[in-house]
Amino acid sequence: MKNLIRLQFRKSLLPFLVLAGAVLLSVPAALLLRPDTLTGPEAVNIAMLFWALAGLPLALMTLAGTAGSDAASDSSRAAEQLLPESQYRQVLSGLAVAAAESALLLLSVYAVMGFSVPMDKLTFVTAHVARHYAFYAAFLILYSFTLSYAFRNAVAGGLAAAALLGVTAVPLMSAALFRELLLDLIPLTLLNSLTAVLALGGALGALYLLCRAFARKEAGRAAKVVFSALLLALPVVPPFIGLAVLRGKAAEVTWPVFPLTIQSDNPQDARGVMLVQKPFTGEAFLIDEAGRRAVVFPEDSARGLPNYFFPVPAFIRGQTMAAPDGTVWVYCDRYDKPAVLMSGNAGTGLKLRATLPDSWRAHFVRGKTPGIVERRRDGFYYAQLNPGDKPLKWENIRKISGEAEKRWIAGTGAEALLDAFLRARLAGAPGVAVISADGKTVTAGGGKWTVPGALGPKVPLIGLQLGDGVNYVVPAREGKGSASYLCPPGKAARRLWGDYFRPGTNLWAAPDGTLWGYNKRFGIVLTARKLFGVTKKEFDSPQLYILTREGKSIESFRLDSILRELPDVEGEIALAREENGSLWFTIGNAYLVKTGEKPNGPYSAWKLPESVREKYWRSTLLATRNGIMIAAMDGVYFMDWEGRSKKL
Amino acid sequence: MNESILEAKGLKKAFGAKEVLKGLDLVAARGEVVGILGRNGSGKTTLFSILLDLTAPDGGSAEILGLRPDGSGRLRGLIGYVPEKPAFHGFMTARQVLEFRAGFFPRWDMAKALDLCKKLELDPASKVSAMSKGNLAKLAWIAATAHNPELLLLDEPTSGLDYLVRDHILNGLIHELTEGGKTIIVSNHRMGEMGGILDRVCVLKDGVIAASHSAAFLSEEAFRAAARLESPAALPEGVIALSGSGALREFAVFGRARLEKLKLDPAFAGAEVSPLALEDSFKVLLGE
Repeated sequence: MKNLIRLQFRKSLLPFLVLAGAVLLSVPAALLLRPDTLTGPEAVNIAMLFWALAGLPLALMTLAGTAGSDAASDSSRAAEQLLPESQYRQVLSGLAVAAAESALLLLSVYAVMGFSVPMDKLTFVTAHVARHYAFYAAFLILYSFTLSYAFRNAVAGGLAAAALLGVTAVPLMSAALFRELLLDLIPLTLLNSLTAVLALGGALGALYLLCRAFARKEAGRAAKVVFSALLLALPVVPPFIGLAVLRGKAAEVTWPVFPLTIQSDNPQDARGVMLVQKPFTGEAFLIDEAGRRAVVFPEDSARGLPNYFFPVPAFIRGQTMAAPDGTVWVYCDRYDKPAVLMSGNAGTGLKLRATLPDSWRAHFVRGKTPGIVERRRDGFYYAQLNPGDKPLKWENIRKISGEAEKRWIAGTGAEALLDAFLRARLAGAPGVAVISADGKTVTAGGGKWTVPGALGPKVPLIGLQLGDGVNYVVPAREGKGSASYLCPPGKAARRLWGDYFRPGTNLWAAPDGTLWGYNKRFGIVLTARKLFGVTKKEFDSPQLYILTREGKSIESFRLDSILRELPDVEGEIALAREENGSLWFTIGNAYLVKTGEKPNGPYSAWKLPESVREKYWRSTLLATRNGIMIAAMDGVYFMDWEGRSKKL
Repeated sequence: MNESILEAKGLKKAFGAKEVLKGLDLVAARGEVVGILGRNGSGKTTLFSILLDLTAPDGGSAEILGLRPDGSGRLRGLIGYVPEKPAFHGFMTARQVLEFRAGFFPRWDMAKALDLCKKLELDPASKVSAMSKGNLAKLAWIAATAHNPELLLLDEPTSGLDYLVRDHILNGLIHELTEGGKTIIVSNHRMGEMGGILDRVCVLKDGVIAASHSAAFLSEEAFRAAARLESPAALPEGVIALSGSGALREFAVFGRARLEKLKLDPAFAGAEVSPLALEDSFKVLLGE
């Protein structure tokens, strides 16, 4: 074999040297011809990227294709087939040399790039190619060689190999794109491995059969050629089957429409409805706990062939709000359609209240008279959301009060104006408190509280509905540290917890009205990192602070022991409900846990239906009065507080 | 002499619808020189290709020097082969060809190869791409014999050689080989020139060995009979019409016994009998 390899190397020396010389000469050429905007190393890197993505594939096709056609040529066979080596080994020696020369070319380009590929400068497609370069290069070499051997023509073989590579790579890229979207719908690693094994093994097998058919002229030549063709086409099959399965599953994927739901002012009214989208069909619908649906945007099946291979999720944005009269308001915006504003409910259907063709985004404003603030191309508009069929009256609110503007002087952009408007309007609404300039007085409606000195921006505080009415939580200074004060209706402010808590920052109300928060050292992001990044034994879960609707405080509550015991724990922890001393938490999108008030006491845990991983949404869950709605991989589920789940 | 080093049984080979070999049997003993006589396209090259383990038979079996053709190529290490159209890599010199081949044959004798170059007047420094047809044939001869094979397959081995070289090969090289106990299977369109060295001639016809005669038989018991036939007569077995017009006809008779029997036939009374030249015997066998 050694002598054969020497011979093949000698035969292909000239084209190899020409290609290697071209690669090396492109270094000084890049330096000489570089534009002023590029440094020398950047120019060389770009030249090498060109080689990697365009020049080398051609070079590989040339080297392997000429070697393959040469192995099949009458002249080479006449000169070599009398040697006492099997004909397959003789053919393989040509392939081995083509592969070795290709590897040398690749290595030289990689070396000039400093053994590092600037992945950050690549597009998705080129980055995908770079990550799988070894496979694609091996594919191109093997197939160019084998097909050129079969056709006895390097050009035909090389082009056919490139075409097959394209057909194989496109669905693989598509599957990788799905993964990029964090949709692990199929075992992509297995699919890639299977494709690689079939491609590499299939090409070698096909070459063996072709060699027996063409060189050794064995009986059943036609069958061998047909079987070789099937072997060569085989690696195309898994990617396409994988893609078909992937698309079938993707069509069932549901995501919540962000930013989820604003409930009415009374938490106990938490409506069991969720605004859901099927991102790969473009469908959006409102669904309730009973599984009744009201369509917002119907399924859009005619999204074209390009979308078949490179799916673009619809990325529907929107919001729902339950008004005090029970009406659910829905704002929904799909990138390719005008936004819509609808009202109604899942059971009886939604009624279109306005089409908003210029809408960029919108926010619902709750209160006795709910409203919507919409940002359009030409500014901000406000409308009250009245029941009935009357058209909405839109008011241009570009100009806001001077006071509100001053309050938000730090922000000068359009978003700051919108935010200022919302907060100014909230400041005059029931359930919103205003902090005095010195931070010591909190006033809301007829109530007035004194606190040691409120921390942070003196923005209106949103009230939190507890059993005794609307309460306000104010973070205040305490010595060198901070504490949180509770301002209950009709009573003096009292110290709640010895740490900083601010509603919306690290303090939230569960759908049933129970207040809960993380101590400041363990914010949301840190929590997620903690759970993602360390082993279970090492992690230090956040301390949770809970205030029940009845005013009972639970401090420094931890779920460490539970988190250690549950497999595959990742994501955020959120309190979903409190009832008679029992607490329900969601852990990431993975578990619903019911526990007592004692951290290490008995608990129950239920695995939730699998959801897409958190990238675009912090949660795919929506806690309601009666349980949790889950926008899962294969549809929407409902799980009650005892872990009984059903697909809606 | 009786030790068989080549034994093919029922070899079959078809290319598409065309059956080239249809159950060919062939045996060659150690030291035997066997001539394969056949017309163009009769399957001689296919037979050699199977014996060299280059082409797989569709049926039948072969055993050569104790090995069966299995695609491994090992057989070619034991066989010397002179093809009709020798081919080497054009970028090599004759010496490089020989050195390259030396790497594949454990019994390669480089001194012998260079000595043969000298004898055949082939310059080892000459480049293959510049070689004449004759020089390519010489190089093929050297390459086929330098590893001292036990069996030689010669496919038109003198094709392209001038008279002097042909004579050198036929009367020198091949004699040396046969005296050294080598077995030779040879096909040659001019089989007559091989006459002195052949032990046996096999006629390959219709995909099988249709006839096999010893060289001694062909040189001693093949006769030409010229007779005047007054009326058409049925020819006995072993008597083949050669030529002639009218009543004067010529016949080839194979076997002394048949000749004697023929003489007794009144129709052939007075026939003139003379030995049949070897070249003519081959022609008759081919045309039979």
